[in-house]
Amino acid sequence: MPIRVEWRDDGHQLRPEDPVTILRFEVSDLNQVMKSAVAASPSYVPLLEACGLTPRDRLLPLSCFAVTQTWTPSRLARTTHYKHYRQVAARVLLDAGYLLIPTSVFDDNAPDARNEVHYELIVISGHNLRLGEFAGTRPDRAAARRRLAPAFRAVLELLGEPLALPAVEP
Amino acid sequence: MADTVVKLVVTAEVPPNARPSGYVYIHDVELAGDENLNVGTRVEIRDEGGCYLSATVDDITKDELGRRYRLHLGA
Repeated sequence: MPIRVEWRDDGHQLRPEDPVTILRFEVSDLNQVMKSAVAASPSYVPLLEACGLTPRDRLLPLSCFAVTQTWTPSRLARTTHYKHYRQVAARVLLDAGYLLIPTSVFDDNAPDARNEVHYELIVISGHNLRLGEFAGTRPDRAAARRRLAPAFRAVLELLGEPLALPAVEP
Repeated sequence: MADTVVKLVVTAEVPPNARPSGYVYIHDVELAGDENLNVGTRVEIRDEGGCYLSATVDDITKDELGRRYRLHLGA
């Protein structure tokens, strides 16, 4: 089984009064960011209702983490090869109207060790995303990416400029 | 005349659990569209840090957007 995602009730939760920082690991190729979000979209169908969406809707998520005293950027990056990350106060994203939902991710049924601080930042949702075009011909795919790129650029801009990761902790 | 060797490179973020489990998944929508991956096709995965991992397609499933390929790392 590939990726499975569940709404997370445990671990770190966002509260309006908390100055939470949200981290997103940087993937410099915007096309790759979009394609990964589209590929992940079917895994989020079970969460649509909890997100206030209808069964016809689809959402495009970006995997993010809450930075805490114990979950530092370098610890979050352990066992990955990321070199940069972006981070911003959760309030900035919420005030801009983005949805941040707490989720647990399971890869082949194995929970990600970082699940207690994992969130999905929903870039865009709706019933007219035409995600099937991402599986079409090369021109179809390019057109689909051009159509959705502004939504991804906008959220990445809010996340701030990429920062270099410190040396990864052993 | 020497044979031509074509290396098929796919780009994918490799989750932390994937490296010990040995499996990475990639979806049709993440590809260019003309790779024609089948079970047994050998690929090179370019991960989030630009590192290359060898892998072989060992299973194919379908969802609402198309085919999802399971890649066995190191195979």
